[in-house]
Amino acid sequence: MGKHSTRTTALIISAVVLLLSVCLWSLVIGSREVSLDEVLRALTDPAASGTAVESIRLRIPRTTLGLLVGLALACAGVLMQAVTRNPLADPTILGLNSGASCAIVISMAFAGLTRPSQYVWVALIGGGIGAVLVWWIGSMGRGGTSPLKLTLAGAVLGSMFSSLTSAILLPRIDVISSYRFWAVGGLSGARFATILPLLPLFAAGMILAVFSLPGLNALALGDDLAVGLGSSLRRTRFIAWSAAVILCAASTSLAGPIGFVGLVIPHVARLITGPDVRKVFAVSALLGPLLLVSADVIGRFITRPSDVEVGIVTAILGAPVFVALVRVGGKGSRSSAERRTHAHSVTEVQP
Amino acid sequence: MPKRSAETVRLKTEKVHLGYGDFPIIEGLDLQIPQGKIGAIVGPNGCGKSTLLKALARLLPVQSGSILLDGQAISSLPTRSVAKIVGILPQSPSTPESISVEELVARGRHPHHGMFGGWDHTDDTAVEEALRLTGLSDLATRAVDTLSGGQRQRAWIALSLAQHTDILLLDEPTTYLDMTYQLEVLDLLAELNISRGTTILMVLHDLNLASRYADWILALKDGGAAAVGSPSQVITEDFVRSVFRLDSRVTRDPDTGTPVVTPLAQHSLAALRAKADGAA
Repeated sequence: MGKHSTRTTALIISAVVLLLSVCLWSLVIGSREVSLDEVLRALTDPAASGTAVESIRLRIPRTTLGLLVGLALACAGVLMQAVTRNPLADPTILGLNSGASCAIVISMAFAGLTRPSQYVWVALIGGGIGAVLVWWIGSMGRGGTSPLKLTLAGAVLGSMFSSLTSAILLPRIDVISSYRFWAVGGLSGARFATILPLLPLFAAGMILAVFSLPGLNALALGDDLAVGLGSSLRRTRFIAWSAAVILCAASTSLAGPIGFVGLVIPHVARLITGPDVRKVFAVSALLGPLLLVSADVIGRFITRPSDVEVGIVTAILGAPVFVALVRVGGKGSRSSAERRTHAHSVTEVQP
Repeated sequence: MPKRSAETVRLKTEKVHLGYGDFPIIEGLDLQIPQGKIGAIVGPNGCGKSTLLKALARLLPVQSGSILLDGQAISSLPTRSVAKIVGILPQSPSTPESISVEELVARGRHPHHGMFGGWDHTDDTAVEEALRLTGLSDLATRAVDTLSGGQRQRAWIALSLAQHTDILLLDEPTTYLDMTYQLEVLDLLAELNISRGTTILMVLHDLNLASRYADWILALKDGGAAAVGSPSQVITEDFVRSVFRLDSRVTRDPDTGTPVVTPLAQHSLAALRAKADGAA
């Protein structure tokens, strides 16, 4: 036990140090070179001016957005995987990304929206509608919501929205070209004017999430035992699901649909911490921003002076890192086949 | 040693109807669960043993009638308060990947914590005690999914022990275990009953084991109680024939004096071979 917690502490401290350095790097790197000295001046002296200081000030909201989006997506991923007890669940099954994409395409094609600041609200509304529909369909029928019904509803509605999106897009070359930039997902348009109004959403999502964590630990033991331990299934699922929806809605509205972070960061965190959802959540809240800001910095670095958007880089960068981590192994590295052989099968059939 | 509580009742059902949708399973059952005793629910597959157990643990709403805990409808009580009195070990709980024995057992403390109630000394003591009683202290840091079947079942029981409830319901705690492990688990539950006075009610398939380890037996058939009473009262040749549709001989165990059910000789390879030879 002691050995593991020392190792965990060391890993967490290095993640914090890495995160701080990456943030600093994110302020330095870009089409215009600046020195660390100028970064410090821009951060500490509000009266400072000059072109270097100006470009640093543009990179501050971008870095902030990277932190927020990484945090939101990774934490939402933890919640989704815990609620559905499905290790492959990620924010896309909320119905949110596909709903937001659909709304964006509709607004571009039929309402002629072109300004990214307008996209934020359209995506928020579309994503919200998608998420509510998934929850509604997932709780139909006897017994209310179940992990399987929610996952199915998410998958079905996701396909429906994607088809609708494609149907609208195909004949409209003009819309395709502006849509594809949104659909890749990126931080380049970040400005405090659009980030600040959504800050309360990020905060509300995180608070709700923290409230759902003890219940999610009970839920991991199966529905029956969770109730037996005094946990309310409906309340835990609803709070965790709402938190995930709010976090993803806020981040998708600002940065477009960014995949991979929500799927993979919870697994990496679990390799470090073991299965306690509270610990997985805390470590994901650290690693999500680390991956996203790193990906953004690397995207700016490799093709200077132009950018590769963060939505593309996260997976290209993250996949090899993930594979390496799984190979090195951690607390959660036992094969699932081994567990399956021990899994109990239910034989008594209730009429 | 805490003395066994007098014959009182905390948990009971009154004319309870249970079922799924339009399909009735238990109809109008009145049952009082005596405190401080070990009870076994037996009956043929599909007779509603697990359904009744789930309802007693408020996992399944009643269709009509009521389930009372200390005189109040169990569904109206705060679920966390119920979880401090009644514990249930379902038939197939799910094991979080790579969870250690200690962590699993610690989750039994869930009802004793508030929203952010911290882990304290009482929790440590409860977990240590549960590990010691189940003989798992040495395996505390092992991953549950690397344990043998018997050890794993003991880990789940340890979780229930850490929950520290007065009443413990178990759904087929011996299923999938070999004979030694079955006895080990039942010994453990008997010791728990003796040392803590915990009221135990479990679903068991094996009539002989139920006779050995239970103070009282409830037999379910056709939506109601076919028999309730001590093992020697309930387990008879007529009973086995009417409830399980099986011709058997009921004898007494020479050591324990409890009933032993042996199916008649026609259910054997030798008898079936002889019959086939006779026909040919």
